[in-house]
Amino acid sequence: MYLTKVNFWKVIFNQYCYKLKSYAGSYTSLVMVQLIAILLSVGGMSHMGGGSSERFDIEVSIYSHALVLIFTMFWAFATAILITTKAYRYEDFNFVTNRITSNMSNILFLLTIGIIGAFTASMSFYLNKIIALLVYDYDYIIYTTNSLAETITGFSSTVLYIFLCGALGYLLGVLVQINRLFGFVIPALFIGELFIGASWYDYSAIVNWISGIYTTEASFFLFVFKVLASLIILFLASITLSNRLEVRR
Amino acid sequence: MNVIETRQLTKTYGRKHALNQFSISVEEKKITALIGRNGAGKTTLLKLISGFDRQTSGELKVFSEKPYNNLKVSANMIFIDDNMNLPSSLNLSQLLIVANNFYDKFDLPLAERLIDYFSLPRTATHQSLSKGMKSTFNMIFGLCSRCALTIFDEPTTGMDSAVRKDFYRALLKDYIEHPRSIVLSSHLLNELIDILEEVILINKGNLIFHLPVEELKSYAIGLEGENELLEELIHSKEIIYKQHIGVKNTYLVIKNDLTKQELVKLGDSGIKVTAISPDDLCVHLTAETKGGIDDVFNQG
Repeated sequence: MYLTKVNFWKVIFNQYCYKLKSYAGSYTSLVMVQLIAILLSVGGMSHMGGGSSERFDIEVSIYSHALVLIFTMFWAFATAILITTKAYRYEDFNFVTNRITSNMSNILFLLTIGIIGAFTASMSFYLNKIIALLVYDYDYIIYTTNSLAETITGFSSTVLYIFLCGALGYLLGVLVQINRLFGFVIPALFIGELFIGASWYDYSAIVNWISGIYTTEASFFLFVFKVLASLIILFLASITLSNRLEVRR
Repeated sequence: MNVIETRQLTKTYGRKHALNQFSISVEEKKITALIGRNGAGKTTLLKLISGFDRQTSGELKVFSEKPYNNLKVSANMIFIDDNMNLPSSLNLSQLLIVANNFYDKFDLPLAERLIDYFSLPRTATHQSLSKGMKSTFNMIFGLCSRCALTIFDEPTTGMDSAVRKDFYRALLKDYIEHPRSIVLSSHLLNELIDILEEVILINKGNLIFHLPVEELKSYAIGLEGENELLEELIHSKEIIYKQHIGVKNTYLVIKNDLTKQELVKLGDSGIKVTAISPDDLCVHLTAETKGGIDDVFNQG
């Protein structure tokens, strides 16, 4: 009997191409999420007060695309959870697949949307300023120009942050698929810790711990190393755990 | 070579045995029907074969490999049922192109001709189709993939009779041109019988028989005649089905292992001998009681 030979990487590539097209809904939600974030940041992230004298007042508004970034990270997190749900998992099994290729193409998809999300978020930095210029009657807009190297490090760390959120969402999604209870317990623990931490100690241990690892790293290469290590751990855990799920009912 | 081989295959859901010590082997390049009542275990068996689920115990080989989570089996097998979950973000034409990328032997031109023939709108999404149209699309998808093992789980759900006839014809034509193993599960054995080579009958997770269609046609015979006469003649035979007709007469279905002399004797004594269609046979063999639904009403 003549059987088709399968090429593992070709199957992953095919699935990846298919997911880029068929998960089109995630691009729409990205646009919505970023638009909301941009609108919310039109007022400026923070204002520095009016030093005024007889001749002039100064009022400084600082604009940044931090809010857009945070929203994009949430979007990546939510999208990752979404693609672990049954409907999406079963979709793969209409075509050639096994669980490894399905997971691998999901990871590639999450990386891709991380890049897209990072790119559009970075672009929103300029949009933000244009809107501010149109809405308010500003005299000056001051912005820093970055060197190419800075731009590249900035962009790649943005991608890594978003991808990391995706990886976290993916693991949570897989856990919820194994047992629905995780869907309640994990958010409850996390949010509970935030409240308790805030009211008892004025800080949250989890947030401190996470930001201690990722956001305060001075060396870019060390940061990349830490994020990559975390990504590998998160995805390995997801792949191993997803083996406990049935393939398709 | 055998495409599918199972030995003592068992699948339980909780306490319920969906499949019980099920052993069959299906040779390659045959069209086989899997027949059984609702809940007999047809879908369970097909999903195990497709590698979607894991057996509780026993052995299962597809293309001589374990099918569960197996990429090689997945590339050479397609499973079509009516809960196929296809993305709403792609229209029918795009779905066919995706399938064409995945399956090496996919025949895209044929798929497009079939879509046009059945007047399915190319730009519609799978979700927006009616039940029968969905089944038609799934059928085209399965047929054109030309997988070495093509499995249809109740493919005709919702199709009207014209489409069903076209489907059987398309299946047969494509099979003759590109012989491959096809397994169909269905309730409509009579419609299918002309294209089939083998029939597997399953009831409550147990294998009843696995026979070539020719043997199936002469597997049993129907006898109709006076009660006493019949009882005397067939006292030692295995009765498959029994129905009282009026007060004096009885209709019996028995396994056809009668000798020529016995048949002649039956004819001489005024008993009417009839052939049993495979469909009726399967219904009788899987019935809960020997008298069928009549027994329920005859209690009082």
